[in-house]
Amino acid sequence: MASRIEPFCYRLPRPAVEVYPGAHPGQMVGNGQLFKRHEALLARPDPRRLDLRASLLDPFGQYRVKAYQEHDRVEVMVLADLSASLAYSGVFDKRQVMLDLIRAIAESALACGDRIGFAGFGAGEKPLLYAPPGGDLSWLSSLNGVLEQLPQQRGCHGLWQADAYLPRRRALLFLLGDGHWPTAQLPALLASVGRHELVPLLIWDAAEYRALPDWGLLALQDPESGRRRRLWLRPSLKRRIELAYSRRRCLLQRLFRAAGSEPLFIEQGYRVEQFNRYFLERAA
Amino acid sequence: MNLAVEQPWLLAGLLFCALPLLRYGQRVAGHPALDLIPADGLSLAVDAAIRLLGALALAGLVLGMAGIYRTEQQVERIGHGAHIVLLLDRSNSMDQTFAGTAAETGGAESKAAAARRLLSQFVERREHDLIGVAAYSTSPLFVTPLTENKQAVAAAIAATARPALAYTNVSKGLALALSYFDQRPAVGARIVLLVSDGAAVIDPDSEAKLRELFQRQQVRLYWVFLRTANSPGLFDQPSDPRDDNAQAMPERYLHLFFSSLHIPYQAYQAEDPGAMRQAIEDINRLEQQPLHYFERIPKQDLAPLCYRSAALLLLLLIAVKACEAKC
Repeated sequence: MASRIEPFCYRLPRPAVEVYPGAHPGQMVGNGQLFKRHEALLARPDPRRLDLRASLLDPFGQYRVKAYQEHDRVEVMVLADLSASLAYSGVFDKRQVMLDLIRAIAESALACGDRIGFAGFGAGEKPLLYAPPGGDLSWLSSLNGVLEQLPQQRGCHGLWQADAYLPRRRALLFLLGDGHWPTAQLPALLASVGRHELVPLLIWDAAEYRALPDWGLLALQDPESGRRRRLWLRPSLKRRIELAYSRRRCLLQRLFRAAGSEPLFIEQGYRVEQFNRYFLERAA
Repeated sequence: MNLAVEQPWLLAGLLFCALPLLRYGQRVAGHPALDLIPADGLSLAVDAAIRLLGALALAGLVLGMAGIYRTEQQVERIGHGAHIVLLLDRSNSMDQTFAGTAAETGGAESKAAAARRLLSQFVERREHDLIGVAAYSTSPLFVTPLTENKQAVAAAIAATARPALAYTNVSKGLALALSYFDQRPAVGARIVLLVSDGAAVIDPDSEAKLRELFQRQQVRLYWVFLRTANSPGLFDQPSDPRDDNAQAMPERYLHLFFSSLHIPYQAYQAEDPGAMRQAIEDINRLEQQPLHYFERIPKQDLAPLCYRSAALLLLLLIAVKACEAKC
């Protein structure tokens, strides 16, 4: 399974703000490959970067030093909804998809030399698993155990106060979930994490709505509320279910776009090309 | 609807009826977003119907096991008719023909057979009557009480096809017939239809008792006298005054006794089956008064009905089970 995970390439539309060098174009001016401007030698006392031609042309006769744009490190944070509804297994096992996504994000981050952290929220206020941004991935092994316990988590109430667990400075934030949240709380969360680069990853499954049988009697149970319903499936009801799902998709898109981020619906497991295209479109 | 059960403790099993209301009885698949699925009236109705079917099937089985039955009931009815007691003569002579010969030899039907045939037709036509059957020979024979059940009456009449008994003791027969009306509400007409082919002397004690009974019971008396050829008739005057006594002419004296009772009384002297039919049709026409009576409906075992309906419901549930979607 590990061989399947191929790191994707993410780029940010705005320059990174970290002070540590990394792989992403940053705000800092310092040592790098990309010329940015000239500065006075007194402001940047680095005689190795002295530009003689610019110094001669300077009307005030001052020494000019080349300044370059520095490449910075980015902090990557994964916020995960660890409620029981993610334990659903349709065409794909959502837990496996979630694990694949987290590992792909982690490997991609490590490939760029970035630091990655994780916070997964279940029914409680505190995260089930919290790892501050760092270079080691030891928390990945304990994630399996957390995912095993998923069916006992009735909701993800902690997720709405997730801001407390996020870095203070702007980071790349992956929000991992299935989007079946009460939408009333979503705008507040999006507003509280507004300083970060948010990438919502919504794991959907065709078996929930499109791949339902045309006819028959179906008993369904909500894993979080425990509520049960019996459905007499028929083509007209199936059309209404599909319509409800497409409305939901539009609603989520509208809410996330209002917060400045485009949601990415994962319906066929982790596919690297989907991620690469998403980030190319985003940076453009 | 008075229902009762044989084994009431088994009714505790009715608690099982709650099972289909609490459980699904089918594989429940998880679904991450049940709230997204639109409300559907038909699905709700199907769900309710399945639960109801399950509960009813279990209730049917439990009630069947507990042995539910409907208790005996009385239904008040109003009809046109009368309380009729058929008092049949079962003496030997009834097995003879109207000509006075044995029935087997002549090929003609016996008096008893003719009476049986005509009375059966009579009973069939009297839909709302309560009819009782009594017979008499040497002793009175209680056959059926006053009943609405035409089958029982027809069977009682048919039972007179058995070979006849001994002699004729009309006074005890009449006393028995009159006792049928004891503890009966005095509604509608009360009729005693005496079918006989002869008479006997009524001793003075019985006579006084019968007089008193006839007065008390307010009955109408019809006497169909099946006269054998060459036997003395009801209205014959004896040629010799010395023969004018009860021993010699019991039929004439019985007729005189009935006439002196001050009750509605009609005698028919039938000398062949046709005349007898005429007599019975007269009675049929005359006695059509409104009658208010209670019909008894016997205890009815409802367990087979319960099992049948439970089996039907279970078949329906099996059909529903086959409709389950594989997901």
